[in-house]
Amino acid sequence: MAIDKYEIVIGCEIHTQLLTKTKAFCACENRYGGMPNTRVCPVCLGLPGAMPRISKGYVELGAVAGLALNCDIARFTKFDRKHYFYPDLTKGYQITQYDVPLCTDGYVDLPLSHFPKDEQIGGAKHRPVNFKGEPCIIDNKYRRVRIERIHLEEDVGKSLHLQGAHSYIDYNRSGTPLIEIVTKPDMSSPDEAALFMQTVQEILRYVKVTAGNLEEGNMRCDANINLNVWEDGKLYHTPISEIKNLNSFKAIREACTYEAKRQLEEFQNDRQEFNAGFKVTMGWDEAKGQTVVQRTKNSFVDYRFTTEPDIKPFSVNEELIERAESRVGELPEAKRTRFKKDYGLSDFDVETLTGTRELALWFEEAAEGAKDVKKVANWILAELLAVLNEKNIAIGEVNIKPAHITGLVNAIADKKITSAQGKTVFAKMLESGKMPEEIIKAEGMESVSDTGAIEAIVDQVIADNPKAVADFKGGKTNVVGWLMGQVMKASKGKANPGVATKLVTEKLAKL
Amino acid sequence: MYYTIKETVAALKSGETSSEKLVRSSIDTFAADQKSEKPLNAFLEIYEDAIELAKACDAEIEAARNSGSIDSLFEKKPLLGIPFANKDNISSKGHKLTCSSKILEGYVAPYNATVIARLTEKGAIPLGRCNQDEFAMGSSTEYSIYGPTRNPVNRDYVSGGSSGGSAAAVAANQALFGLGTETGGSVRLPASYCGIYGLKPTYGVLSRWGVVAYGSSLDQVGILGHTPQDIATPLSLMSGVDFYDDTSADLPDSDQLINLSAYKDFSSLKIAVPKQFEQAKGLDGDVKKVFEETKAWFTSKGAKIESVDLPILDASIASYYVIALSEAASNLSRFDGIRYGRRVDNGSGYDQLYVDSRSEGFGPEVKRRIIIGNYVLSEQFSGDTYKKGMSVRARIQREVAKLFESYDIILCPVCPTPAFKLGEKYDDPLAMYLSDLYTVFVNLARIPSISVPAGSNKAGLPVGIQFAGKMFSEAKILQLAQAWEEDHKGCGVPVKENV
Repeated sequence: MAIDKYEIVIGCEIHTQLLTKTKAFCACENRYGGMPNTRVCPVCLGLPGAMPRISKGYVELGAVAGLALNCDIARFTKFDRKHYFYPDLTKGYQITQYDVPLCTDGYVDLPLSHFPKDEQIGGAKHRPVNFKGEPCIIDNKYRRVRIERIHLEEDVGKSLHLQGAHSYIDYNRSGTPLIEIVTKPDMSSPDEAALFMQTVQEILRYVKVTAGNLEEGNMRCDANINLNVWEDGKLYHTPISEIKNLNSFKAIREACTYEAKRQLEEFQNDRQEFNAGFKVTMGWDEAKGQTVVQRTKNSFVDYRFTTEPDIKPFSVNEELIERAESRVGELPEAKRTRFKKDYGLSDFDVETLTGTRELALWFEEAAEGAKDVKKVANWILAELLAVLNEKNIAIGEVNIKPAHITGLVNAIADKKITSAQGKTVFAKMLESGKMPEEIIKAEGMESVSDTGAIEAIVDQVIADNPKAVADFKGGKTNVVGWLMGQVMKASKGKANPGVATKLVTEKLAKL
Repeated sequence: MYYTIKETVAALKSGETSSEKLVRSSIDTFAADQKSEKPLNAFLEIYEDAIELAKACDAEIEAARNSGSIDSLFEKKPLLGIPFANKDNISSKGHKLTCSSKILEGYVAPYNATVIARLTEKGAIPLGRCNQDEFAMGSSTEYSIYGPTRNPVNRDYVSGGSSGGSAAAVAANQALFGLGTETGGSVRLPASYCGIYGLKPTYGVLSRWGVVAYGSSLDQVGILGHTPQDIATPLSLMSGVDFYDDTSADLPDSDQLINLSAYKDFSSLKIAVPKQFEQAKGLDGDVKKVFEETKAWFTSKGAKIESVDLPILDASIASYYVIALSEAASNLSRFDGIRYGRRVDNGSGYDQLYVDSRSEGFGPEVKRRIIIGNYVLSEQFSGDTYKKGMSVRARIQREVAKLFESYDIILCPVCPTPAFKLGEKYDDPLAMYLSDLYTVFVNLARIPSISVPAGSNKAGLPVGIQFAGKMFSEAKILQLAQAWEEDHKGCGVPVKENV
């Protein structure tokens, strides 16, 4: 028997913590870290008699995520309870949404240009069709990953297994608002899964749904993976593995790559096949570079879902949807396409300028009214970002406004100052927050274009340097440059060089 | 001794008694009872701070009396200095809360239930916590780790449950009024067995915040008292939307509760009596007789009584147990020995810790209900039983609401029989479940209902009849109860004890 070919099939569940002020169902502050068990209350500790209540902004933020990922938003929905026992779960159930999720039927388009050149990575092509055989390439530019649903749920506490006989639990995270994004099994390589996670992270950060810090657990990915294997012309499906809690792009890539290889070997050795309703739950041991079985396929988990009777089913009204829509706005990919088209910037520059929504907006504001948009981009990319990096501050925290850069670029374009002087002005702007025009004036940098004033200086220079004039007459035309230098020096650099050159040349010719 | 809140308030105002005297008398009765041969066992403890709170109230009253502002003080705090009985499943800050279960051993409530907070704001004193069936699961207050609460009318009989402790405490005059909780009749049933009034309000009218959940979509705090007014006053002070309970609701007409008037417009009163209840098997002859007398009273006042056919009521017990037990299985998941209460840990990991803590912590009836509830919720074992239970419930709610378009109240007994002897049904859960026949439809339909002390059987055991109204019609059914009270003066006052 020979394996003709195989394909990797991956679907993801991404848990994302939301940027609400308070936890999902109580008034505890929603923040990462801190002294263990200091941000807890009867609700998130699951004390007897405590009842949940939906925090302000929680549902709206879920809707923002749904709209940003092209989902339909339910107009009437509810919460449910999912039951299991684990020490970090305070109530013996997690409040989640089961049969009426807030968001359904969305998608994320992954730019083909971001896929690795080697389409064979991971042993399978990025197929132009999804797992159902439907075309999934959009405009020859994107591969579409469909989102089945996004639902609201609460996070659990954190178990700390230290050395010795005891375990400790920190419930600060208990009740943190989450969304769970569930995709269709539309991804066909570990790279694509990692790219998907990266794209979702970028979008959700852009719309301020999440801080999106993977290392702080703001986003965690569970990857469901199996293989389609053709052997002697016959198609087999391997059992699905769910690799839990992948918390970096590298982990997603490596865990899926490892698991695909392992499944192929397992298929060849044991001929294990897919069985509906059952899957193996695994963890990723980063140090060993291996997936580790946590629960076997034979244990069927029965979550005994019920409606959450403590929270009334609720409507999602039009005002909420409108507010959510306005918070979504233009997404990164659309912005990139527009920046390239409207400003004629390079791919690399666009990539950087659209890195965060704030920076993109800042740039656009500076570009508005600027006489040279590319120069605006250059000042931001080469000078301003360096300052931000150095000071480790965000664009909103810097001392200057976009109009400062507009003014600076225009002053140079109008030849009021030279590029070299521009750097001085830039430094002084950052220091004082003053507008460039004000600095140029105060520093006396503004060049003099008044012909009369320059003429007087030119006359004086010619009168003071008879030798140079004699040399000019003798045919040494390069003295013009030297005389120009004298004019600039006498004007303390303020003479408009164009006007001065013209005058020097004219005067010498007349002598 | 004073029997009603009104009398007591008058005595407190005049200085004829003091809050401290009231609390001391309860403490003495409690102590004496514990030493008696057949202890009532209504209170589990009198809160240690009750006497201090009473002294503070007395000081406040005295100061107001001296400054001539006594009336305005009681207008602000209508229950000032009035002690009340709390149930062991309602959180009172700083006090033990065990739900009469071993699994909550040592747990002290760190916050107040909204009903407690609102009552204390109005001057009332939480006197102590009362016995109940474990986690409110039972109809006799026999399923308690503290032993049964006896019936003050006859101590060989059960007090009814699950709020048997609060009912017995009020009936034996150890407290002026009591809080209970209902999921399927747990206030009305002991009220009926002990011969006092007991109200189950509309779902949501009293906040559930701080009340240990049994079946969340059915649970409601109830009030036990000697007169309709003794229920109406605390109800008006506790009711209304609570930020901490998403399912809470305002009670319209709550201003009518302060000075409850007797219902007068009997000539236009239409009463429905469901055939399904009249023809129920196991309806005791004496209960039937009391029920007929009650009907006769209504007719004599000019009301119209009609027999109605509501076949869906036959499904109410089944629907009730599917929903209540599913929600119970869910709600009781949090008692796992990890964060509070009793933990049994032999050191072999948390799975074993759960099994051992819950096996030792829960009593047999609670275990039975958790197991049935989880069985029902398991798709693997029961398919969509839970969903079916929910849709039957929705139909009951709809059809009962429709009935109220043509009728003002539903009239029926509270229980097919009067109180039974201690131990009589202890090992027969099914018989116990069937005693809920007349009560659970009220919880399923989310409507209010009051149990009225309507008579007694040949042996002198009280029999209660209930007036159930449409949602938010508390004022109306209390006014009807007030009319009953005025024609049957003292039918709900403390019993003469046979000790």
